[in-house]
Amino acid sequence: MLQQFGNAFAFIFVAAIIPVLALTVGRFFRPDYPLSTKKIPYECGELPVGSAYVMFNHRFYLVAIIFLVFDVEVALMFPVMSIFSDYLGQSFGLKILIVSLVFLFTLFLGLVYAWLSGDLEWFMERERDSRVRKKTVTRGEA
Amino acid sequence: MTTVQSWLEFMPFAPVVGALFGAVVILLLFVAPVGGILTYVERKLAADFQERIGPNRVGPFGILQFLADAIKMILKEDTAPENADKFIYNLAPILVMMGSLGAFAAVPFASHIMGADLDVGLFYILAMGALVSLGILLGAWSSDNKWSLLGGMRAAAQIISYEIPLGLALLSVITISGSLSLREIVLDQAWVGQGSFWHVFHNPFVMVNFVIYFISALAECNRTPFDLPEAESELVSGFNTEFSGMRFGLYALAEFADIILFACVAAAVFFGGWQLPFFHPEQIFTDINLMGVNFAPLFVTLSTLLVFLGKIAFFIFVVMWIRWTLPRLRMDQLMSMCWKYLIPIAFVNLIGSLLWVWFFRGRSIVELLMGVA
Repeated sequence: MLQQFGNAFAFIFVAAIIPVLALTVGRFFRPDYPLSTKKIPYECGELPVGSAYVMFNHRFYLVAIIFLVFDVEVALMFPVMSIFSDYLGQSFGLKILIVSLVFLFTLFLGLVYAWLSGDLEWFMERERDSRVRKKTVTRGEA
Repeated sequence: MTTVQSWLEFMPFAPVVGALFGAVVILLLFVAPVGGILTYVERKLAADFQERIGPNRVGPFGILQFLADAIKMILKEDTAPENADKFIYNLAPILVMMGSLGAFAAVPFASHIMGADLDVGLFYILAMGALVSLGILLGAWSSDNKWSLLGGMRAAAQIISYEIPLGLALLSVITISGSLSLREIVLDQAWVGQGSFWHVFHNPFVMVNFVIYFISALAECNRTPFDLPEAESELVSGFNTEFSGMRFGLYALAEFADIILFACVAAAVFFGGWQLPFFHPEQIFTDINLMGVNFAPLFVTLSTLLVFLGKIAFFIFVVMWIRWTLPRLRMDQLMSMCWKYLIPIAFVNLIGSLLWVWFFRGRSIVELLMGVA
């Protein structure tokens, strides 16, 4: 098995070498005439206004938090599911089944809670809170 | 590449040379050229769907167009915005390529062609897929461009959200096959006359889960109808706006490599990999002797490789067909599609699949109909 992980590492190594090689080979052929206008970020031909590091919708942050919970759950279920079929019809198999059903049900309750508290809605209820409405002017994206 | 390693045994450092040789053969001689040809196929198919001619100048039927594109990309000047974070900006395309090409190690291409027979193969592929979203987000953030920032945030939110239904859909197959190694999952689906068949037809829950897998895979590859991160009509190609020349080419190649990868996983996990019902290459090519050498294993490998490539080609065609048929979703539709529809359905299917495996002792519909005890 260690040899197989070595093979996988060889793949990652070659996969990292390919882009480095492609960029280095091009260095000998491509032109290099740096002008100050070429270094301006592209904004459809207009001069850019301000920095690009603007505020963006905090929904992205909430999605990342909910994702973290569920992804850890998926990672936890992988080893349990991979041994489940070895214990069909045995008492240990029944234990696996009940424990994973309870686990999945609890997680599903978490999803329902997030849904009911409005964390899955992409558009905020702006009208309800005037403070939010003032701040939305600087937001990057609706 | 077990056969290659046995040929190379007389060399010093044979395992290292064999591993690097296998990686170079699969990545440089298969994935990279096929990814290039897919750019041509995509344009030609788009032209067909829209009743245009498409690329037809370079080579017969324009088939060498991808070589012309590659040469053009190498000859283009490499510019970066003044305030870009140079280190991350240079690192990002390499990370994306590492993620999308490195995952091919665990894909079983044929009965004897496989980069690394990992016992955590499926998990490895999901983990390398996460590297792609990291590369896209870093590249978008570091290039000091508002379009890129928005595209990168969208890409990150979309890819991490759709990873959950993807993982849940794959979990239901693992309950059946009882292994994470892709080679064992494929071997599990052989038609042996006993009703053991492709995993899609194992039970109704897995059928629905395949649809969920396919939708999530489209979102993972940033393909239409989920191409918000690079929506060319509103974000000017999104996360790769500032990447020019070869760097843009690397992003494009990584996208097509991702499509090949997800087609490979769909074929291997749900559609039997190199297996076809009533097709047993080991029994057809038993003894082919030419000049004292038995070529039977070679024929077995080639025929299984052809079967697998045929399945991949079908899935890639469907992905391109969808691209030129469906309009793009909106951001809120994208998120509610994932969190309010796909994840609950995938949850129910996983529980249903667990109960099916428990109550029918792992037997499939076909086995139940044929009355296998």
